[in-house]
Amino acid sequence: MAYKHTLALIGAASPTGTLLASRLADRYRLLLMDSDLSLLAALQETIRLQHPRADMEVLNCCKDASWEADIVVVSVADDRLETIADRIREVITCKTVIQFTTAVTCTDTLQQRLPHANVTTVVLSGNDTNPTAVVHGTHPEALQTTTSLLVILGCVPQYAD
Amino acid sequence: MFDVFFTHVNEKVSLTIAEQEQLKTFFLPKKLRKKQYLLQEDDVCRYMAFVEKGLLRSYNVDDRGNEHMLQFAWEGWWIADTYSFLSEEPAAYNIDAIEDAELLLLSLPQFEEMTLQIPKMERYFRILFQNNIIAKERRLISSITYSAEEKYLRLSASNPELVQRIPQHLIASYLGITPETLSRIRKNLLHRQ
Repeated sequence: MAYKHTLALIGAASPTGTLLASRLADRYRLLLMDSDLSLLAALQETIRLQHPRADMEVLNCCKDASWEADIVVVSVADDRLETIADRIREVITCKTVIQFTTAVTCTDTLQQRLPHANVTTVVLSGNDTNPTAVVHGTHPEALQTTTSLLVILGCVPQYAD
Repeated sequence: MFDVFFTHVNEKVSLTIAEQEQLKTFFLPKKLRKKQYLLQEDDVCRYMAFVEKGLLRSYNVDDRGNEHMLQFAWEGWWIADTYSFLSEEPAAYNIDAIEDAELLLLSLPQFEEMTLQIPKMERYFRILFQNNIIAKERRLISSITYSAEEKYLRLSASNPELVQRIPQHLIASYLGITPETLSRIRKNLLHRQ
């Protein structure tokens, strides 16, 4: 039986976070974190209906979630990135951190704030039926993990560099 | 997060503050809940784990479903399937948490890079591997030489805290005896006191 990875989803109640949570719930142990607790509770209920056996937990601290996780996914507004990075910096050394954004200008912010993490940034565009995902980053293992997640999401990844 | 680790390392080699800061960048901090796996048999062991807090065990399971305990690791101990870690072959053991745990994980590439950049860590690991060989030889001698009662007494004398902390059926498995035999030994020892 293979090890089941734990994935922390910071910004789980965002549109991208919600999509990720519902698609990844049967493959990963999920730690859901968001500042909007009512949206998070609703998301947890929706996922329970979709995946009754989902291994999932709601946490109210992004540092604790990141500490416990093997993979950290960040899907928050770009102006909150630096705050989140400062909170999780100590516990994500050597971990894969994947940022989902719609802004091409934010592709370096997280790696600069988290120099000892393996960061990739996925810039999403297009629409639900025809999504486009451009992946930025250089660490081979992080790129591989990011590609796996995007395939589960139904996206064909393109690589920036 | 690194308190126990630095105490452990500094008992064997003396690190500067700058080296300690550099050292932090090679480790992956990981929390593990009770009963969660760090490694499952047949997966490749990607990390050596240093226990900052909590208690872990390594064990394998035979064809009849019986667990055979190989090692316990608590604060200040390392745990891994060393053969799998170094050879990148599938692991022969499972490793899971007996108590909630805080770990520092070290991958093989990070291990290589760390010992290159901080040569004192090569000495630290040489001492660690020497001690590990000695411990394994002693355990082998113990298993073929001593009676069940002697093995239990020796374990209690060398690790009194551990005997209190670990469930009795796991200690019995570690000693290679049944829980009933261990219970009988403990009762006999109590009567003799």
